[in-house]
Parts: sequence; structure tokens; C-alpha cells
Amino acid sequence: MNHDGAPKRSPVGTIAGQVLAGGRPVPQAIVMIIEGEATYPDLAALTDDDGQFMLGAFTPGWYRLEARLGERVHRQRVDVQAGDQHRLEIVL
Amino acid sequence: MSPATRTPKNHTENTMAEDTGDTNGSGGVSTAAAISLPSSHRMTAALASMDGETADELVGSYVAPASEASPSDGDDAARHVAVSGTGSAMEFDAEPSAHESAGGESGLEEVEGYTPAQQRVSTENQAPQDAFMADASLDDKEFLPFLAKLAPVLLSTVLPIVKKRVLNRGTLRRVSGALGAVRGLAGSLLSESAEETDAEVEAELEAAAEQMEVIIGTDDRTRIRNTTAVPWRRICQLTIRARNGAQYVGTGFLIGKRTVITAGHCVFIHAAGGWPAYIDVAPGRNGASRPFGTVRAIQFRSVSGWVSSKSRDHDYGAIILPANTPANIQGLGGFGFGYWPDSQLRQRMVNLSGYPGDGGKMGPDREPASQWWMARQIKSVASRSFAYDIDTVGGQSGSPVWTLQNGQRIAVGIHTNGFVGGNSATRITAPVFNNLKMWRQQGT
Repeated sequence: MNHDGAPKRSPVGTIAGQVLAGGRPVPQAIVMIIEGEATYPDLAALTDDDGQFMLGAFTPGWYRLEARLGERVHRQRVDVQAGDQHRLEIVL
Repeated sequence: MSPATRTPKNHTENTMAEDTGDTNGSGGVSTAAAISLPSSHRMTAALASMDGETADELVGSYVAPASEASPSDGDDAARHVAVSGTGSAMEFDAEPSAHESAGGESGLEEVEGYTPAQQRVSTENQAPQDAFMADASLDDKEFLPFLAKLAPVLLSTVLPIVKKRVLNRGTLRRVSGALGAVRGLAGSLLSESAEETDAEVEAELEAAAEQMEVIIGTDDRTRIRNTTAVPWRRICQLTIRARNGAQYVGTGFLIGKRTVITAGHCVFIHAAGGWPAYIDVAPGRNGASRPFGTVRAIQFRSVSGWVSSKSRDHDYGAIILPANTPANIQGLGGFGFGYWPDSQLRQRMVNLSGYPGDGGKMGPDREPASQWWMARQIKSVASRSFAYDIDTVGGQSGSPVWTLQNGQRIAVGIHTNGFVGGNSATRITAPVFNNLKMWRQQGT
């Protein structure tokens, strides 16, 4: 058993993408998972100069992702299946 | 203005200690070659070229002798190390007192702006005070029609989660009526909703989830305003630069002059090139203010159970600050750390403070890179991890999870994971304890 009955699911999917505002990349936005069906690392990503981020690998399940720069916030649900390579385009 | 970041010129030396638990017997990287060390430790090291980096990027496996990795007193004995100011300057002069509540719970920090009565830990002596709907910003007239439109989907997806969360918080009785009302509406409106397309349902479900979070997710975090006080100044905001250029933010905590403990996935990111290029460590960061400056670290430690096996149970590591780390940081003092048997750890009150990526709870205190604290009882204990209902979000990986023991702050876990059923920490067990001791020694 892991902890608290969190589902143990094997192979992983990845979540990455780009944050944009007004059609332009947004650097230094923070992207994180704020809730998830399966256990996930509580690490947040910062976007680079091209607005790119990479949150890494997740076990299958649904997750709620938040991207934020100051008061500009975007949230969405991401359903991860084994082998998925989610490439998100997020508009703040 | 923030002090300038300091960059050491030394090469990177990142090592793995052996802590594979009961699932993995491999002690290091596959291309490792044994070399001798003057100490009693055996080190297998490899000049592994990571993504074509230079040969002086030493990646290795630091294997502790069996006697150190598996102490004879085992897990049945409680054991802890108290760390003070690490030097002549004792830093416990501002020691807050532990609360000894009516329920007999101890180990709760005293935090400005927070009273123990605010905590929502369910005990036999505590009537449920915090209702599911109590903090709702929407009244029933707005809320229920909105839910009704989505009732079929909500019943099959969101409500089980809601129920689970509510159960976790011990407030089921207060919400059962609301759930019943939703179920009733769902039955009457099922046929209407059946005409919606999947996309529409999905969009509305997402919108509903937004609202549900507002209603359900009472955010109980408290901002730490004075991050120069003990113990908050010993908690560090981490800005991680991965080898592939990706950047991340996390949290760590000092256990010695130059040793910062954090999650394994902060010092070895499998999806981003492994060991980071560097990590900027800012103790006691308080928004834009970095009261003790920032140190750039390039020496990292973790264990083979994480680096090689990516096991959640072995998700911990350390940052060794450079030798030229300013004295004001080396004198900040550190958390103690220890381990207890299940029976003593279970339901123990623990504190967690770190740097959430969302800047904290919605309201005037929210600010990027600010430190937030919360305390709850441990809700479940596993052999290598434990879970709690302390609110966390991305960025808090590596936060200390500690308890007060005779006035000493003793870390018992390293926060690593979120999960709707309970966030969790890597538990400090005997092998973890011994590796932390070793890494603390390496940072003296």
C-alpha cells in the first residue's frame, strides 16, 4: 500500500505546454497541479522565455491544472491516460 | 532590493545514498565504478556524462554501510536529533510554545493571526463546527439550479469526490441534506440534460468544478509574515533550473549549516534531465523580499530508490549549499528530525509550511513566493509515507512536516505529493534518518 488508498496506476502520461497572452508567450508564469485523482508531485513549473513549461509524468487519472501570473489565472482539467503526451496551449 | 545570487565555481557533485527499501536492491547508476573513500563509506561513482555535459559532472552513488542504513534499533524505537543554531549562535531564543489543546493534541505551532480554535481537526470532544456550505459565497438559490443543470454528470463524477473529501474532513452530517437535494433535482432533470453534447457537459462540468472548489475547499492556510523568525527562516524557497532548461519552484528546509532537505523530485527530475543545473535557495523568502539573500547550489543528494527506481516511497533528497555560503545563512539554525513508530506517529499533530505556487490563499495576503503554514493531525500512516489534510499546492514539495516535542521542532516527514484523498509526505524512517544525518555532516 502506498498511502491513504491512493490508486496505484502504472505507466504514465506527460503534461507540457505553452502559456500565451495576447498571442505572445508568457515567461515566468507558474503552472501547477492543484488537485488530482491520483497522487502527484507538488512541484510547480515556471514558464521559460518562450512560455514553455513541462510538468512531467503523471499516473493516469484526472488532474486540475492551474496557470498563474499575478492575478491572471487559468484552470483546466486534464485527463491523463497511459502514454498520453498532453501538449496544452494555455491563454491567460 | 534582493541581494545578488551567488554562484560557486566548483564542479557539481551529486550523489545517491542507498535507500531502496524492500523493493529495489540496486545501489547506484548502471555505469558506476567503485572507488575508495577515506571514510567508512563505500562510494560507487561514475563520470557519467549527462546529456553531453562535461566530464567533471560527477554523478555517483554514495552507499552507506549496512550498519548505518539499517540501525539496530529499527523502527520500533522513537529517535530524534534536535538541531539548534549549529554554532555558537543559538537560534531558539524566539521559541514559540506548543499548544496543549483540550483534546490533548500537541505539536501545533503558534502562528500570528491563527488560533487553535480555527483548526478543524475532528476529535471526539469537538463538535463539527465547519460546515460544508458554511463558507459558500453562493446562496442556495444560485447554487442548486446551477448544480441541477449538471446533476447527471455531477452525480457520477464530482459528487463521489465531494463525498470523499467531506468524509475526510469529518463534516458529512452537515452536507448530507445538500447532497440529497442535488440527487432529487438530478432525478427530475435527467432527461433534459441528456440532450447536451459531451463537449457542453465537459465545459459545464469544469465550470462546476470551479464553483465546487470555492464551496468545498475551505482554504485554511495562514501566511507567515515574519519569515525572519524561527522556524520560518529555516524554510527555503527553491527555484530549480533543470538541465533541459525547464524551471520549477519548490521548498526545502535547513537541518544544518549548509544542508537543505527537500523532495527527491526537486533535486532529481526524471523528466527534465535528472540532477538540476542549479537550485537557487532563498531562506525565509517573503514575497519579493529575500531577507537572507539567495545562494546558488550545485551539489545535490538523493537515494537510489528515487533516482534509479523513481519510487514515491523514497522521494527525498538534499541540497548541499556551497562552502562560501554567507555566515548569516549558515547561522540560521535548522530543524531537528526524527522517527517514531506508527503508534506514536498516527494522529500526531503536524505542521507544514512552504511556498505554494499559487501565492497562497485568495485574499489580501496572497503574494507570489510567500510562505504559508497549516497544521493538522496525521490521518494515515504507511511504512514509508504518511498522509494529512493539510492544504498544499504545487511549489510546496520539500516542505518540512514537523511536530513540537519538548519545545524542539522535529521534522518527521518531507512533503512530496498532492492527492484529493490526502496530501502526503515521505516519512522519516530509520534509513532516511541516517541519510539525513550523513548529509547534514556533509554540509558542515
